[in-house]
Amino acid sequence: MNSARDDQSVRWAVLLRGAFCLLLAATGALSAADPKGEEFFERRIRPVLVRECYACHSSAAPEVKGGLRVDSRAAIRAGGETGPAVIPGRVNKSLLIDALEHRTLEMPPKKKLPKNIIADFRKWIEQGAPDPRDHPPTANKAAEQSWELVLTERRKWWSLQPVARVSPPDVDGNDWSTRPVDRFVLARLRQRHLMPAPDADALTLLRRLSFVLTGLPPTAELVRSFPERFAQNAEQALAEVVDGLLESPHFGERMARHWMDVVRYTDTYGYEWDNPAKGSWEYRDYLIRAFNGDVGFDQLIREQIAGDLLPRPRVDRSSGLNESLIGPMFYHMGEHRHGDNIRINGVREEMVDNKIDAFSKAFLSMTIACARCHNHKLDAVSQRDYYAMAGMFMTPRWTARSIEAPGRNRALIDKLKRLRDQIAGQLRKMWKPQGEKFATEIELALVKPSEEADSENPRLALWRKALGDSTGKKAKAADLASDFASATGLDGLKWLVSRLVSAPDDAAAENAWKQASEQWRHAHTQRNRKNRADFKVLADVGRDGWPKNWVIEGDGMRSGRVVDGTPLIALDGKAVVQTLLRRGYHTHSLSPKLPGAVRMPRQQDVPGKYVSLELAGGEWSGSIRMADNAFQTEAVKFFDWQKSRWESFADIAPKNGIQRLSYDLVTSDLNPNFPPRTGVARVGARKLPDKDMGFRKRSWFSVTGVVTHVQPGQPADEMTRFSPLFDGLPPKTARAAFRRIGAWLAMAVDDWAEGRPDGDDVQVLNWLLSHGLLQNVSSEGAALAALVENYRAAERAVPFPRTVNSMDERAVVPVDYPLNIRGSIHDRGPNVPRRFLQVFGGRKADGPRDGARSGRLELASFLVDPRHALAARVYVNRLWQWVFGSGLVRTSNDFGRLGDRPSHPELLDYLAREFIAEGWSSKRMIRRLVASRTFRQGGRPTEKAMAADPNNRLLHHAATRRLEAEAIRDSLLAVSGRLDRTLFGRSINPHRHAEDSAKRLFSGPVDGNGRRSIYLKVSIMAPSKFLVSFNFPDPKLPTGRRDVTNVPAQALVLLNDPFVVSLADRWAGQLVSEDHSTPEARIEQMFVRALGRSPRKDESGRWVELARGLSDGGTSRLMDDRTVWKNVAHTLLNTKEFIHFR
Amino acid sequence: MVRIALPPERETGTISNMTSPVFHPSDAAASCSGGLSRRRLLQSASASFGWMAFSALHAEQAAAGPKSATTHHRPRVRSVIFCFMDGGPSHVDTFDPKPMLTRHQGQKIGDKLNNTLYNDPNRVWLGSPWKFRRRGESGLWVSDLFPRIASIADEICVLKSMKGLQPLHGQQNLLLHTGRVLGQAPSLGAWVSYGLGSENQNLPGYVLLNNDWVPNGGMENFASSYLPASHQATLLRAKGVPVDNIRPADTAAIQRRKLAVLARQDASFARSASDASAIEAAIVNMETAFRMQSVLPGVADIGAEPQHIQKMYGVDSKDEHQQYYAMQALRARRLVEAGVRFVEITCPSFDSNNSPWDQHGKLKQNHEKNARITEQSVAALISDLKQRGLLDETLVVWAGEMGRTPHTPKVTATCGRDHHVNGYSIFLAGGGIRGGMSYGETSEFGNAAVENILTIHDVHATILQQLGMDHERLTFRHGGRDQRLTDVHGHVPPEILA
Repeated sequence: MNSARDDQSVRWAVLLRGAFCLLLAATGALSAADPKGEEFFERRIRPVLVRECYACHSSAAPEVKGGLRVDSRAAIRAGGETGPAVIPGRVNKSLLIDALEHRTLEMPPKKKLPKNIIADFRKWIEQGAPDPRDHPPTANKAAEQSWELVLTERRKWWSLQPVARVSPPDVDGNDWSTRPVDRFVLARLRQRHLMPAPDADALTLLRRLSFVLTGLPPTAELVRSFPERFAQNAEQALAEVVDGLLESPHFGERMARHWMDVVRYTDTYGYEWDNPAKGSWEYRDYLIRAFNGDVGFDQLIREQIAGDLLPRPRVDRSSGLNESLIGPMFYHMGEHRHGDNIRINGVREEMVDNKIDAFSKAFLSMTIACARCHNHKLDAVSQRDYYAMAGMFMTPRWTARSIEAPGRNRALIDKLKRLRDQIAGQLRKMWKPQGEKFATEIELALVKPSEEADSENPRLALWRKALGDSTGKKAKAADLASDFASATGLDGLKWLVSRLVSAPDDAAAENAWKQASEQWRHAHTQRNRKNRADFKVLADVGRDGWPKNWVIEGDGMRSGRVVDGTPLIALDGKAVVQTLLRRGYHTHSLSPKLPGAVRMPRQQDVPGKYVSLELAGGEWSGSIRMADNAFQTEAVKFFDWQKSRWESFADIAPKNGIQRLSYDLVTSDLNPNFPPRTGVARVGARKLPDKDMGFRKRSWFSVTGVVTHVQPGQPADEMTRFSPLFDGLPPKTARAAFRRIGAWLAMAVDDWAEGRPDGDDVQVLNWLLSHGLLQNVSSEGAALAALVENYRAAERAVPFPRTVNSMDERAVVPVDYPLNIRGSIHDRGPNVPRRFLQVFGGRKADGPRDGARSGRLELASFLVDPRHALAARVYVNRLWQWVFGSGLVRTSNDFGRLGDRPSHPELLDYLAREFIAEGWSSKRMIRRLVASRTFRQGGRPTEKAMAADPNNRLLHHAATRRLEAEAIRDSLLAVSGRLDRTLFGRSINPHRHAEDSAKRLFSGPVDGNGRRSIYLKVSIMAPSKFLVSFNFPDPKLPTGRRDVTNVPAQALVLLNDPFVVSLADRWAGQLVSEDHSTPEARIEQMFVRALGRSPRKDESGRWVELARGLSDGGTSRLMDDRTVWKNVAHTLLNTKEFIHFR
Repeated sequence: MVRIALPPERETGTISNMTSPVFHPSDAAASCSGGLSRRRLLQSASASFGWMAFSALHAEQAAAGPKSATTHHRPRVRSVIFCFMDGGPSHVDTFDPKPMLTRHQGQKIGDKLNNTLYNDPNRVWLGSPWKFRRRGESGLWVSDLFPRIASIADEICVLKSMKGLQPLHGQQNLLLHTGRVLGQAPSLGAWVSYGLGSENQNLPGYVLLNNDWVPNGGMENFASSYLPASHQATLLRAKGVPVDNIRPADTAAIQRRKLAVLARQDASFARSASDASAIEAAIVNMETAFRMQSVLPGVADIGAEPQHIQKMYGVDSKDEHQQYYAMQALRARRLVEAGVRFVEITCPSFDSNNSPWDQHGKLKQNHEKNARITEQSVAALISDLKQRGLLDETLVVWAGEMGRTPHTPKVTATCGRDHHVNGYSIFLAGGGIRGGMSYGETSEFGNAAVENILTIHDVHATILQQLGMDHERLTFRHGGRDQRLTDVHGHVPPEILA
């Protein structure tokens, strides 16, 4: 592994630095002997033609302009619509020269080539235009050649160069700051003859730090105590405050929300139905924990790109979760259309585009998605690169994973198993003697039944009921079955018994038996033969486990394999067991709270046209059809039956470019699309209510057989269970026959009690149980009762599953992705092998290594490779932006040609190296940034500075910043005393005027229960209106930096929104209960809370005047008047200062 | 500078090569024949809220007046009303008669239609349950589903050869609104607002008359995307308080006191900020918001309309959905009178349909219901505009995002039609558009547009052109490109222009 990685990086670095030279070398050095002049052509002419002309004038051009091609000797001499481009030896007659010189024609358009190049062309034509190109290149070849040359140029772009090693500059006469960051900044300022602004005052800094690091205003206590500490020792006071804020759990919330912009965080998938995005909130909490715990960002990159593939996943002790597995939820964000490519061509392609876009912007600040239809217009990304990456992201299954740390439930599972064994032991003791009485009981029940006997033994009536109450008057339909073999289950007995009972004599009884026996034998043989011919057993899963390449997931599945006759303990009520299980996998065998999934290989890799599974399930378990990751599949069948039956899954002809089509069996928690869009989850008349978000379900399924077949149908019941019954000579009398039946039934009990039951026995036992013929309650105080109670208590302790949409690459068939010609889904070209961008070496991702078939793990390793440190540079720029308001590169999602150039390139590289040296620690980097004198600057630029650098690129002051939407809302909550500082948890619906339950657009409380805005549900379809009015970003797209706009609607929100008004009232309620001696004192307190400072004298006067003006009484009345203070508070919340910091 | 910080990836927008403004709001105001003039409205709003006292603090802002329109060429209309028929009304049951369907009803469609989502060869043709007749002087075909629209047939121009991209609501809605199936681009209304601005400073340029219904594709259908946020749709709902937070939380007297303190407090904050102009812009917003509180509800208040007008629109209907739609249609007229550039009306959703006109089943029942809810008001709106002389300067657009398949899985009493984008009908009426005509044709079964095929980009280009803007020159620099509503497409069919 190591060597492979080294190889990749080295190769990349070589290519990066030396590509241009290599290419030149490849085109051939000048040779002294060039008799035909071909060397000259190869070196000076051909590259120019390829680079400058081929795009429009070769077989690579979608449409050859002017009929002219310059890609072969014949073509260039024949020329186009205006005549021959090249006439050997006649420079002035050759239109090519005319065009290059921009005389009558202008080529290349709008860009005259340098004189020396034109001179080369003149010379070449003078010498007879030697040209070895006998044939035009193929379209692909021409395109490739011209792309190679373009790429060579584009590789030189600053953001593709490995991060440089730089030292902070020494600035002459620097009495400002010796910190490295400041030296870089000061040096640039000095170059422009500018000075940094004087430091901000203590409270300005405190408010700034508090918002930057936690998104919340500083507490009143800090506002009161900080200035004095700052006056005594500014450095120390600041360091203490910064430490406190970095250790605050709200730091993680703040940073997580920043990153959530970048990864287009959303709680729903938008589009038509706004389906819930499973486990989004787990991902949000994962980010918060990671930032609070200062997990290295390299680790977070690995986890988000390939968290499911890490050999040593990261487990968080506080949450007990496998954090690494949550990372790939990153891919799932963004809009998902319903349906898949089976229904509508292009669904997958639209999704993939969003994933590539998010990946490349988030980790590389590149716009790879621009190359979907053509090579990138400006950056070093080809269309092939795009499709090569698409294959990497399409290879894994996009599906739900169980994120509990491995073994987290092991103790409980072991305990449940132990208790189950003990319960089974007790039942064995109890049932064996019962079985011994069966023969006698049946005889008594059926031969001359009497009320007396019945009252003595109530079981006799039970037997009659079970075997068909044929002694009574009413005959049941089953008794009238046409023959023994057409009845299901054990109902054939009813047919037999009814005939035995009514047999006039022994001969008739014997005859009836013979008849049943023959019917059975005939059916048995026939069905057995047919089953063997038509169905191939793929696996006896209870004995052999799953067939090769079938993947299972979840504790319910891992602990769900049982032997025949394992009791399924009843979780409530009087019964001890619900049923005895057949051998196979049962996700609920210990607890229906344990999740489970079976992921079949793609259909073409499963033998036969059909695969049928013997299944049962309920509570919204089901099977889902996954067509190339079916981003939001609605092809789901929900299970709702207790008794196993065969379900067939047919091969479907792949269409619309689908390469993999497979079926998964899932409990609801491991169904990546559960709950589906409203109305889809139905079984029979039962519908999942729209409001039901699918949490806390006791979803289960079991699989007891897998067969494959060519024709539709299902294996018939061979009825082997009756084989021992009909073995040997038929009983001579009805009485003997009844005893035979009893003995046969008892045999199943015996087998079970001795621990060797088979599937037939289990069927018999469950029949007995269902008819109450085996005791299934424990007497009070008995050991069995205690065991059952213990079992149930242990089961209650089993937590509901934690699952999240992630990735699963186990046993997948890797896919390459076809280039869509000009981006058209209807025009699929050849597959492009999976690999990362060509500019980074483009090594193929395929290889024999297990578990890394997509290439994501290699991709992650590449990204965090410190030797080029590109991802570190991208991320450090984000940190800078989060701290200072704008990045050193202002377009933090685009370091390409259309992006901004770094204002301080050396500083950016310096910080990227330091960041890596400090273990990719976000906290250390942020501490370094906020400790800089640059950060400490005041907010008033000089006129000179504004004239020289109006956009403050050189950092000559700290710009006033408006709070983000969340910080505004959170501040309102904090200041009014409503803030609930609870961390984590499921999202809370934003408040809405109207609900639309079909789209699950439900309304939440006006104040969101006081929770921070990060916990409000982000719905793509209709996000929180409050947040949107303050530039909450579009959740469909990665956002590098938010807009800050100014519209009247914002003023309306703060003036009139019931949320704001109600918080003002709440604050007022608190204020009037507090002990303030004067209105001035109260105003002072309000300023401290809302604005982080005391009012100046003129301000105090102004606000007291407002309060007095609103009041209709004297001071004491005023102080108690909640309405007055509500209005004052509301006004204060409407100040511009409240929603800004300086 | 309105912005505090430079937004990312946003550069300045331009209307390139502007010609001198040829459109004067005062002319338009003078042409209003009704009881509502923009100027009067403004005055009364100011008076009732004692506006002048407050605004004296920022006298220069108050004097700035409404923004004048700037256009590329002489505009034919000054505003647009877009009746969005969400869900896809059936073309073969409204404006595009197909006798072949009736003749072949119940017969299988066969395997020729492989280019659509609904192409099972066992599907069968379905004749229209409604009779088609020639209407008006022009003899335009309109079915009995739309008796009232039929009565104004001479005013409308039906485009029968619309062709979309994907037979799915989300994509088509976004295409119809933003010109892109993926969205992520400004809405048509936002472009119009951006290009022309509002004539009335106290009203937004783009108003969405909605009823808290979120159509497929989401609120993005009405968003400003990369255009400045002030151009996104302002939502005006039918039920209850029409606009979020428009109802003042305080009495006028108290609000004035608050604003007076804020004006002084914020002015001093602006002086201490690094860039006073940004804060000052926010202060101005406070003033605009204050005025909007009275102006917008005033315009939205249809109580000011005489009874017979209300009745004509159907405000008196017993059906609450029709009532809402009628109210919104009447508001639409009042809004364009007051100077709003682009008004969009969405259909109310009356049951758990995915979208109102989306009749996969119960075509007859529910298309009739949709027609009952909307068509009287649409016809009334067009007539009313005409009576007031406003139809010449208003363009009415009636369009769903798609049509419906001429076939169905099985002919039953409750069968329906499925999604269809290969050929469907929309109509335009009003300024500069020829009434009483149809343009383009679909095939004999209505399966595909075959003659004079039009795309949504063409319709967008036409709308912009009528507003005086060249769709190729109305651009905004974003992502390194001069973006336009019509992307790289769009041409205006000259035949439909008057």
